[in-house]
Amino acid sequence: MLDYIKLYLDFSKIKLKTQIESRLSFFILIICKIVGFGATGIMLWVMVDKFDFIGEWNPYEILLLFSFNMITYAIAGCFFYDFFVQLPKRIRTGELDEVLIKPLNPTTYLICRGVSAGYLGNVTVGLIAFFISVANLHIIFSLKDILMLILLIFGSSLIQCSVFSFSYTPSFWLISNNGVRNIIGDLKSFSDYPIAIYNKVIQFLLTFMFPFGFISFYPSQYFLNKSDGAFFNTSFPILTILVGLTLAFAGYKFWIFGLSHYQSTGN
Amino acid sequence: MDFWAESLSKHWELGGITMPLIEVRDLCKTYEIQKRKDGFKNTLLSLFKREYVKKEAVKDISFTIGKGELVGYIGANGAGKSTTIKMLSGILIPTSGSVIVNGMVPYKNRKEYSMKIGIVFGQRSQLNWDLPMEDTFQLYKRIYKISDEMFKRNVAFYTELLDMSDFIKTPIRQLSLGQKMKANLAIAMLHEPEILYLDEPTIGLDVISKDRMRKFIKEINKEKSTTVILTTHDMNDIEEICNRIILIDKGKLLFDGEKEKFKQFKPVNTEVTFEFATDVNLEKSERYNIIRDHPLLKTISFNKQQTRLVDVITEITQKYDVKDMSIKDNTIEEIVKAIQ
Repeated sequence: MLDYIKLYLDFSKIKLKTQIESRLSFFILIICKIVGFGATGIMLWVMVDKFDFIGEWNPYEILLLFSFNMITYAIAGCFFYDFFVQLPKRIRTGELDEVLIKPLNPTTYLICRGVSAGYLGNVTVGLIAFFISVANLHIIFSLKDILMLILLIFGSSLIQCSVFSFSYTPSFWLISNNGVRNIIGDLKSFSDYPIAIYNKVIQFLLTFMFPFGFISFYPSQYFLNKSDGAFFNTSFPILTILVGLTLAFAGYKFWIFGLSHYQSTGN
Repeated sequence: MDFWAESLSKHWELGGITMPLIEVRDLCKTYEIQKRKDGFKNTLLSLFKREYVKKEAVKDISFTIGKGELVGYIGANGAGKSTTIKMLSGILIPTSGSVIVNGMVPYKNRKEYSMKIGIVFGQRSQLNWDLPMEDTFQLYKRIYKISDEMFKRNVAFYTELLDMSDFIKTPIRQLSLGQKMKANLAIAMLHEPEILYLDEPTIGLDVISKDRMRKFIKEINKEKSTTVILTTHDMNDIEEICNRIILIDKGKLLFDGEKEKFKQFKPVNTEVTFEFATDVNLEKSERYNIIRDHPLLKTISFNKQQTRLVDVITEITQKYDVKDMSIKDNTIEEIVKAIQ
């Protein structure tokens, strides 16, 4: 474990060194980050200021939902964004060969190579949104609530991680993976809003088939004392952790299964 | 007596029983390739029904390799060389058959196994483009957990042997092909692997770089008794590096033996291309055939066993005004023909 942390630090140093070396692209990167955060901030502000109730949810409650989604996506992206987004290219070019001949676990090695501190910014924006919403909704956290919050963020982040795996691992078999990625992406974007507003069929899909409801909707319900939604059950917030663990395990197995079907490329 | 000494030095010992370092048995690799048909209609149909063609890239190959051997793994394009190397190195999983190296199954014991091997792919670099060699060495020191003492020794040794000191601080993307190749070799050997796999290591390199690479390979084989398996197209690589040849064609083993024995297979035909100063009408002779006939450029082919090269050249140069000529070296394709 310690070795991997050291390796991660090494890769981070390399990344930073490379980025600073080409000054222009480094500054452009920083400007992009600032603009990106600015845009997200404005969007959140518009949401709170201009939106009315969506279903039974007031704007600050939606902000909470939104921040949940954002924080957990950023946590997952921190480890798996580069890992999986680069995967189709690595498969096509045969670059993955290099990963398989290293004396390291391929999964941990790719995580180390791809960890991006850039996502810490997204986490921060998410946390700010979270606190604004909590303050305005006058939610008081007991010790148990804080514990729950940590567990729910953990579970939800695991679901986000598995989404990366399920979206990109099919590129071991498909030349163009965009279809799968788009379908999963579209389904997931349903969970940007309280899923109780949708038709029952969609609610069913988002709860039992593609459990994206557990990313932000059901966890938020716990803190907001809400019970809307066609399939609401008091055990759902707790279930988030179980769903997270199960999906993360399945996503990991799927990735390993894909890796075993890696065909490499000719010379 | 000599025989025993030799065979003992080639094999490593395991509990009193001598075993080969690499043992390959009935190795097969089959790819499924989608059958493509022309026309838009067929493309649409292929959405629903697809036919696959099985391509046997490697077919029932068996061999054993002992410690310290320098093996040339050769064959024409698409013969299955790279596929075999990828199975030996654990990147690909065999369809059937087995590879056992040092008691390990490469694709199952990847982590442990990769400490024992080094790999260089001639056409693909495993280096980070933005880093100079210096930093890359440091990174690999960490990845392979190399001790300080061994690290210092090897960096100094390889830098000297490959003449790398003048570009060790340059980012890799700015290096020439030859320099990149040297860098890849040094990185692959940094952790002193027992086995070095080289897939077309000299492809695209100039004569001087090729020579440097060959010297390096021979040197590390001598110094560290590294077992080297290389695939190549260049007969000079084989001539200068290898002491054993394994030849495959269309995925099947065609020849496995010492280099001296391999050299007995002379290609039947030799080709010579002449460039004439003036437009000539080259007559057909009983000694040779004309296979390509352009006004100023003509290629002849003759049977090497029956006709001497010198005779053919003398005959033509005496009759015509020859400006230039080139003799086509023994190619692997020709030797494959000779063996069949």
